[in-house]
Amino acid sequence: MNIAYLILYGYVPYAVMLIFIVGIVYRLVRWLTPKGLTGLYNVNATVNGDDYGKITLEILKRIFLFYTLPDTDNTLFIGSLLFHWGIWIALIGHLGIIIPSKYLESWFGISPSLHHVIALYVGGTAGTIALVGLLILITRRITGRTVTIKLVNEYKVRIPLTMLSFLDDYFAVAILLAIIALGLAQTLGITPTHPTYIDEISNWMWSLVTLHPNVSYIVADPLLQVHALLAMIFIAYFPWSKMMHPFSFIYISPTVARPSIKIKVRSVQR
Amino acid sequence: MAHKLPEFRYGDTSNIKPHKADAKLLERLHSRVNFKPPGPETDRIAYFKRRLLEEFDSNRNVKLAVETCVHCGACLTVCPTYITTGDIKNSPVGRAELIRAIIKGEKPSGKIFGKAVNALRKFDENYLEMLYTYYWQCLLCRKCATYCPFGVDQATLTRTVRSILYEIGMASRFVVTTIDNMERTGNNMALTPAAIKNILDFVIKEIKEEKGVEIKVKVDQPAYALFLPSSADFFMNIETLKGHLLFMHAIGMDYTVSTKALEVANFGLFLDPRHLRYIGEIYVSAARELGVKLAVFCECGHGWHAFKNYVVPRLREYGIEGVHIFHLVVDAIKGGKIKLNPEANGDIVYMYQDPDYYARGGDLTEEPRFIMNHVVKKWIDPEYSRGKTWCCGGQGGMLADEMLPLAIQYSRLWYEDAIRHGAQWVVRPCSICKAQLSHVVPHLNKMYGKDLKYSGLMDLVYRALVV
Repeated sequence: MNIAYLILYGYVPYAVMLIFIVGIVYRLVRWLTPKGLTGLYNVNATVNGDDYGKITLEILKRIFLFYTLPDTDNTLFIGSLLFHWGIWIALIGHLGIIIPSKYLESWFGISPSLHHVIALYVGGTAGTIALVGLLILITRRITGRTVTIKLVNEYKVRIPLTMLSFLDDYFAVAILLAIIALGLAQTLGITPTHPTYIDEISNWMWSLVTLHPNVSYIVADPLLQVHALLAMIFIAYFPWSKMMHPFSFIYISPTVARPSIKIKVRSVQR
Repeated sequence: MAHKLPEFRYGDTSNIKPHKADAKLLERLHSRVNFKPPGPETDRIAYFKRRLLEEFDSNRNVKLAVETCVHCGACLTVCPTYITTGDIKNSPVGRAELIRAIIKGEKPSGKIFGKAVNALRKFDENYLEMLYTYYWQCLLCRKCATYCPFGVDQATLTRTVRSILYEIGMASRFVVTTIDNMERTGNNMALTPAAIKNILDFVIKEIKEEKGVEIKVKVDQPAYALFLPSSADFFMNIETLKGHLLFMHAIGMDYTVSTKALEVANFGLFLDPRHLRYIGEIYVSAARELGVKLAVFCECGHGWHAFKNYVVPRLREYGIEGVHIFHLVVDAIKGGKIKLNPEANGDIVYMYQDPDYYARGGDLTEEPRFIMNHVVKKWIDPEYSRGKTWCCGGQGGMLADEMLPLAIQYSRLWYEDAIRHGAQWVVRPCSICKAQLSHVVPHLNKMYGKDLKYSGLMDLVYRALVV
């Protein structure tokens, strides 16, 4: 086993996690420290009477339902919905790879055979959904779209995304595409015929979690190695890029944006 | 019109921009807010860049707009300026990109990858002029902010950029003149106290003739409430003013107008936050001077946004509350204090259209609907209602005469939404909406062969009020 391999899969993952966490904290602090908001502070456009309940609901609807998008462009809506739900489910599924099967069974009651079924069917479906969603989004980005708004006249609204897409946009979608495709190839292509494949990976990952990195488990898994390498690049890239977009919701939060001013009509005397 | 208007070209609106205010006028504005403009020897490009980077570091809205946009284009299909003009620079993401490019050019990624990440290489006077052109074509309607999955608000970015442009002497003459009027005289129309009293006398007489009641309006006298109408109501929207006055009479409110603050608009919102605050303070001073306990704000969309979110908290520091007149109307209807007869507004099919800033950050969408239900027999709630509303097309400085070719285009969306649903009369309770409609409706009616009419909401209350 050469030293570079050991460093890459045995030690770099720690550096990546450190960059990820420190980076996100750094970016959030940089987002939250500016106090100057333009003139009228951060009065949200979206929510009237933005109390905590309404704001929370608004944020959840935006994150999980993408509810503002159907009115804009259905391709974007469907692509985003599929892609994001696909990767969320797949990411949760990765917990089953990090935690070795013996613990899965004793902690959560998930037997190895059940785990394999879930990984194959749920994981496979989620990965496919994410892939389809991402392909829709990439196609939309590359080819552009025209949406028709029908009033009395028909307004053909061109969405020339190639004009608005730059290296960082393409890098993000390209690396995600590769990660998802390789993940799917393993889930659908390897795990059905190699029942021990998941265990090999989880042994490696668990060795990282327990701070005793052992990279020998995955030495014969080239697909996994590339998948993990790309994932590490992506994770390290995440905090420094617009991949931070999920965290933009802190700006809508009334804890950051001033809650709306309530008008008190009852106090009026005549 | 004295000058030939620029021709509208679909796909390229670079030829339409507001006339710029001259240095003398700007100097007057600067002195009021104690702003020392950069001297004539200053490199405007370097100044703009430095100020933009300062805003990027200190302003959350700019940071959010620059750092989280994933270029998905969701804003493109909702932005009235882009839908009707097809010029990508005249769109939320297109406009923002003009600024991102400058900031990118100063960041490590931009220095390494250059054009590939859209970092601007050559920032020159032409680029500055382009910024002026496209940032003054924005309506600041916040529809993009509503639809953007992350809430990126181009309107706030527009305000920031306009503010920096203002600092280097690039500002819409129309908006600057209006602000100057307001700061000088307490109203946008520069009405003198004598003119205000004359018009009030005339309106009171008309109300007497039409409704048979004698109403009294205090001017600059202590009262329970300070009444804030739009100065445009004293010229163009007399029916709205009558509605305000008759309603205040009907509920027995002890109120006064102030000749020092006879306005609802706050054009500081369109130019510079310092002027927004300066104008806001005019309302606060007038309210304190007259010792009122309440300030009643009349029909104006953007003005309500500035009032509710800046002026009301300031008033509360002195124990004064602020409400919109619609709140009082709803309260009066619910409490049975007024009687309304919808028959008085005839068999016309009305459509209520939300002014941008009532719906997007103004929390004033249900009150006008409640009132509509009581003052007309038949009205339509448009498909594009509440947060989805289309801007009238006149906001953000678009009322300038030279912007008319664009304003007409921007207006087509709400207009078409009205006529395709068979509306005969559009109700837009906002001073800018009404001014814009007076500009464009004649053109649009001609274009579409219709006879659409429009008014505010208090106009309808006036007719329906049984006194």
